[in-house]
Amino acid sequence: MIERQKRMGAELLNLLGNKRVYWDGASGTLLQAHGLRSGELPETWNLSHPEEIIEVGASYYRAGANIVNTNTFGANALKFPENLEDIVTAAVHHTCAAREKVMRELSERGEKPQDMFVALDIGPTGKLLEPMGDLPFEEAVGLFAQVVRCGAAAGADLVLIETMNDTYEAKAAVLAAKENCDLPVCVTTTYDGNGTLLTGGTPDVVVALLEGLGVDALGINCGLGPQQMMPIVKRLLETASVPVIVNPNAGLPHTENGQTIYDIGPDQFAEYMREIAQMGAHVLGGCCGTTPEHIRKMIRVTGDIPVTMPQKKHRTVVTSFSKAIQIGGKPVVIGERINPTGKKKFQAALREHNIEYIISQGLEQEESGAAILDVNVGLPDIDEPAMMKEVVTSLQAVSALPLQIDTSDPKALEAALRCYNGKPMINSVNGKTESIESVMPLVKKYGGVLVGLALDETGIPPDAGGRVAVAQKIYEAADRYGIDRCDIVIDGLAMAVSSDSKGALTTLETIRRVRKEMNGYTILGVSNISFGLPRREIINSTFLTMALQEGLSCAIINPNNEPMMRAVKAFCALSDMDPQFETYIGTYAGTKADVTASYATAGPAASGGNAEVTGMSLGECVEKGLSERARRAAQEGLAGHESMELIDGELIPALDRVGKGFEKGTLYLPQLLMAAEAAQAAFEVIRESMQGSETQTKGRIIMATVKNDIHDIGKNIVKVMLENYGFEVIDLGKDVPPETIVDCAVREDIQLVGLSALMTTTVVSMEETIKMLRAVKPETKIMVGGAVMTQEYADKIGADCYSKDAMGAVRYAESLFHGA
Amino acid sequence: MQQKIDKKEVWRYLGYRGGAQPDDETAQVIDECIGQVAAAAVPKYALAWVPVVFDQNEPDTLLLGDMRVASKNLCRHLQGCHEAAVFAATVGIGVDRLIKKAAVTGMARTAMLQAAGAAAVEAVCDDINGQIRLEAGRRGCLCKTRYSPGFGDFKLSHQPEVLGMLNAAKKAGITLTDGYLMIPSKSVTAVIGIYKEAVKDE
Repeated sequence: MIERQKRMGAELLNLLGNKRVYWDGASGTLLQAHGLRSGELPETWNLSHPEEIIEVGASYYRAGANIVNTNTFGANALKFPENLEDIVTAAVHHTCAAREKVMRELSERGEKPQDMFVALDIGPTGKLLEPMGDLPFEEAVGLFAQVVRCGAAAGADLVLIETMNDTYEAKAAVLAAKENCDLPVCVTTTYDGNGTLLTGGTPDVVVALLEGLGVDALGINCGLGPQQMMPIVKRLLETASVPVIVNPNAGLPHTENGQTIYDIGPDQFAEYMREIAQMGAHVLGGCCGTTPEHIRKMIRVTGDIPVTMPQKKHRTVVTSFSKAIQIGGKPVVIGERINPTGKKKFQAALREHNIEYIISQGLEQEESGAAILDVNVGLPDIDEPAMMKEVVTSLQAVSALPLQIDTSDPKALEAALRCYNGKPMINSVNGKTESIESVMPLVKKYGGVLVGLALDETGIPPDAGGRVAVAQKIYEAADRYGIDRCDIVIDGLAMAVSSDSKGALTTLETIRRVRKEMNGYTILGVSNISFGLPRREIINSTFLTMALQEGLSCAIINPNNEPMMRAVKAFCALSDMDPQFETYIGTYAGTKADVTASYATAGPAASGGNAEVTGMSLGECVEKGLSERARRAAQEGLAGHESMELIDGELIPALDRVGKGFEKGTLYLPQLLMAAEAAQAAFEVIRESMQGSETQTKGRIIMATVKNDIHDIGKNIVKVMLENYGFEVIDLGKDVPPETIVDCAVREDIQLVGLSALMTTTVVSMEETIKMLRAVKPETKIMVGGAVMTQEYADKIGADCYSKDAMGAVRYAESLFHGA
Repeated sequence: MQQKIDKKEVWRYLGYRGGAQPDDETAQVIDECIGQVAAAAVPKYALAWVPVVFDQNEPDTLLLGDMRVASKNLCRHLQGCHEAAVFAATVGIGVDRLIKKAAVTGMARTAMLQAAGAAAVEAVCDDINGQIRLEAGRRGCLCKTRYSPGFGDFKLSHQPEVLGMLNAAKKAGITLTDGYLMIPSKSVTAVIGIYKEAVKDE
């Protein structure tokens, strides 16, 4: 079996590279004609109606298809926990039997059979992956792996992963296929009329991600008819280096008497497919609504169109789930701020597991105009692979920017590459054999654009010639590992010019020579150049301009630093890379040269900022919900007051006034929250001034949204309010199992637990949590809240307090802890 | 085209009731949030018309197409209906991302985006409702009001069947968590009873 599969796999790959290949069409409609009821799972027929399944497959081989799918689109352990293996094995056997049947028929008639293959069909799980959904990535890989192992063992010739509308799920499926069999892997995704996946991916993103993972062919299926697919097919053909598959529906659906009808018949379908073949698509087939007749006619009218085989496109592309950044045109700004080096606050955030702080650093850089975010979370005393995975997962939930995985730990690198939703940038490999051997296999497996540092066993070459030689070595290593040279970007190494006055020139020459002699792209961590010098941004921004002039492709900088971004924008405007000066004018029109940039000396901010604050006390700023002003008022206030005076005399009374207004119904939730945020901003300033001295908390409280419930906004509102009133909140998050809450309450000896549930169905989890907690730690008080909660409900499930809103929770906590 | 969102509805979700209005500054931030949600929303839906058959042997039980539902409330709501339009609608995962992102920096905007998202999916439902009413009218029928799994004793555990019959994962990208909650979170499933004119709406 294995030998035969290998031979078939090789034959298929050969065919894909040389001839037009035809896929089958829909099977659902045919099965319905055989009596499958709507609502009945088609895969169950593999066991109950083998003859019908074989006949459907045979009808497509008879129509001339080269590849016929097994009836396993929805087969996974979520839907078939008990008999998945039987269903998949039977399905593969049926399609193999269909092939034999048609081969026999043809040989009886003395006709030569076409090449025929059996594709193990894999569709989406029907669940959305974490962090947007609740299916963990590795569980998705596991679900697909089961199907792949069964299907390969049963004799499938290739794997087709299809109808994917989420790049992340597609990635999970490809990894499962690659890790569990040696069969060729093809992937088709489903696009919207506007050319994106439901989860936001564009053709550029999908192509980069799938080719990075090493699929053998990719394309589009379902969702649209052939006509609507054409613009997307065009883009796929422009970007893909592997064969492109096009399996459209038979037009667009409408309903007639409860039946879904597709509006394109076989002849019209064939005509459109002829056009698509002329565009250069390599593999043609059908999806929903297509029949053997559609496929037969399509094959007939496309047979004479010459096949142009895919060419390597050599595009250097980095992507997130939705955004593709091409390297080699306009310079690409990579934000360097997610990095603990030399940053006490960031280091503390890593140690305290303050993921939100880390994420906020990313969002801030996105605002400032970074195109890619560098992610470095390496500290000697933390679990870097776990932290890397968590930060990458959390970042890609909220930011659409591609990431640059920056680590020297191969385990952390693999953890990040695995869970990354896109084609990342990887920082870095160098010329050392050990580095090449640990990093390049990972890049080959997961895909990515790799930064190659121009240093090796002998250290950093002092001259450009030495650095170019290391670059050459890295390119050659990439060749050996089968990594396209366009996926390498060379770091020419910016070193402190204060210790070597020729250092900057050496770096610039390296950039120039990599570009000219090797046609390569380059990258620099720009700010290293000014290490040890005053007013570093002066040196940095000028050096950046010089490097850009030499052709630097990517600059790792602090995008929040205005002089650096100015250098980039001015360079683009001056180099014909900013059409109509759109970016330059959009950024700077109507702005004034700021004082600091032209004259100011280092020191406390000029007094101009205070004028705005004057006339409004800290308390008033908080009451009005003005965060920025509250921050400045707090800074000012600290000049003449003790921090506790500010807290007790201004902040708390202001919060109380807002809280009372909210309770009376004269103020509303947005005002309450804006005031809370302004107070938080002020607290932050005051807390920084108090560093070192003990801060007292009024009490420690656990907050959690109960198991099975994913609504955490209400819980977070309560948390913010409690914190403002001086309580320490241990936030266990959402969908929290009762055991976790109970364990934490016991371990931390907590006196008050706040539980939130939004749905009637999840109040059950709340009740369970209360029961468990009462059994183990009866003295702990429990307050509950959430949209469906009422006093009556709360009494019924045995809570100590029902709070209808955030202020209610604050009042209860105060009464409890003051009483204690 | 951008999803339209009723500003008054957003205010109502944020607690402004009985004619109360946000002050100018707050209203401005709310407007910004509405704009962001409208831009991020990608409305999608899946719809099916199914026969309604009341079980003669089992009280308070009916068939919606192939789906068997035991629910006193739903049976009462669909009294006199021979057919139902079942639909699932969403404004897409982009709105969830927007809300998640806002939650990193502050709760005020998060709550506003949340309210705007809820109003957006309501607006999508209203559009679909309108289409259903038109189609019902063509058939000489009238519509009952919307009724969703999770209301009364119409159990949320019917969600997999409802989304399954609509093929909502494929058509609209609506999926479920293990606890039967919909993702994207700003999604709605509902049943609208269809009846001949003689029967009165409740």
